[in-house]
Amino acid sequence: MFLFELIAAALISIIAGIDRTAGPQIMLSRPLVAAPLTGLVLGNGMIGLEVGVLLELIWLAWVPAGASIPPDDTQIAVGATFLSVVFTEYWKADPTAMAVFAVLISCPLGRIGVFFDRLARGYNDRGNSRLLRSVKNGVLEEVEGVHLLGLLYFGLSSVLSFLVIVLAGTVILLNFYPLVEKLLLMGSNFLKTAFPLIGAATIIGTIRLGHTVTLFLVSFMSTLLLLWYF
Amino acid sequence: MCRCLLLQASWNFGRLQNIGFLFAMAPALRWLYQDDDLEMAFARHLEKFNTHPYMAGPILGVSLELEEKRRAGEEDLVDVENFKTMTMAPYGAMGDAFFWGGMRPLAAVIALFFALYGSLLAPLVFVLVFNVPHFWCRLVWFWKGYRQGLGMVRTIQGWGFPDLAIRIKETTVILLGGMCAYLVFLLTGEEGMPMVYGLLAAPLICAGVFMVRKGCSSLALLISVALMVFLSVGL
Repeated sequence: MFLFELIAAALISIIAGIDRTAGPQIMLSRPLVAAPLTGLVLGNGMIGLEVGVLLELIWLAWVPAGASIPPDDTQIAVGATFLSVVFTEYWKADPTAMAVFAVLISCPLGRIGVFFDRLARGYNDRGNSRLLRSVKNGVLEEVEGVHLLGLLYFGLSSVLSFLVIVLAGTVILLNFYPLVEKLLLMGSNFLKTAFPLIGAATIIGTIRLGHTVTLFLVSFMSTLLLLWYF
Repeated sequence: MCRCLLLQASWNFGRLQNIGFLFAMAPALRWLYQDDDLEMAFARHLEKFNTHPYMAGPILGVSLELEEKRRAGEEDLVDVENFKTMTMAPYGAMGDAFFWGGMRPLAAVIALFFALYGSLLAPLVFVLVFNVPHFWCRLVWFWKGYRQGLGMVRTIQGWGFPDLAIRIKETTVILLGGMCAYLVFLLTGEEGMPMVYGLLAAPLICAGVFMVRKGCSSLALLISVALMVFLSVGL
């Protein structure tokens, strides 16, 4: 059963990972899409939705311009959802506490995604050199093959990132979750709120417009007061 | 056009999106040219190319039109190599500001409102809000680029993307304020705290904004806040 779930999540990690850079970029790679999708396939869409809410805003402001590679929030989302669903079921644990802990341990592990992404692009470099030589020698049929091989490289990089997150995350969960479970149960509501607020702060901090903070504060205060009043 | 959807499949550090651009152009080039001419056309389009993936559509359309003119022996103001070189950077900047900096956060925040209500429609909302304008831009601009040729530059300029991006970012910030207020309202309700404590979130978020502008990473903020929460509830 675990193996089936792992394979299913790995397939989603590949599809979402390819959409992130190599594919049409239709936002399947976003945590708010990839995580609930993973959760639905694994039988618990709501945990996936929670993971997606926690992660969506954190690196949203990081623009993938040029050679800049953001942390792989796609694989963090898929990996954290997998860990949350499996271990919530296994330990009959509180789903929110488990989702928060899975996200907390997956975020630093997600840095490995940048490493594997660079590797994929490096292999594409070799393809580029080979194609340039081929075209120079009059061999013009390799274009499609070299280009589509890039999909394989990016797919492999995605699934490897996912596996690292899941394997390391499993070891950390098995050893540390029982120790921090009480703290998580007491603090999960605060952390569940803090993550999107940190994401909001990151987005506002990145948007360099003259009156961003003022706009945010006016909207925040007026909405809070309206909710309080009504 | 369908091939353009996979523009970045072979993204490489050397020449970035060059192979993807040639992959998209290849069927047309094979139809237009043969033998040495085809070889030269392929080599032409293997030069360094980098732009926003959604803005590659108009560049592809215009390039196709320019290649047709070249094949027919007609000359235009600018040849295809120079056109690509001149437009890829500014279109990349426009696309980054509008799509990554504007539309994506807007779609995310709108979808988050659904997610906070516990609706599994949130991912669908995200995908729809973002992709309807995305695909419209990709398809229509490719077609217009092919039909209008170099006139497409004026068309895109007329759209005023930088201003549109600013308006969208402002809208996103306002929605973020509302979303954060709702989150804080939920928290105070769940924890049984007086609502006035919710007002403390505003200076805390501003502190986060300040730290981000000083170069603090999101991950460092996350870990710090998590440790503070654990310490407070532990004590």
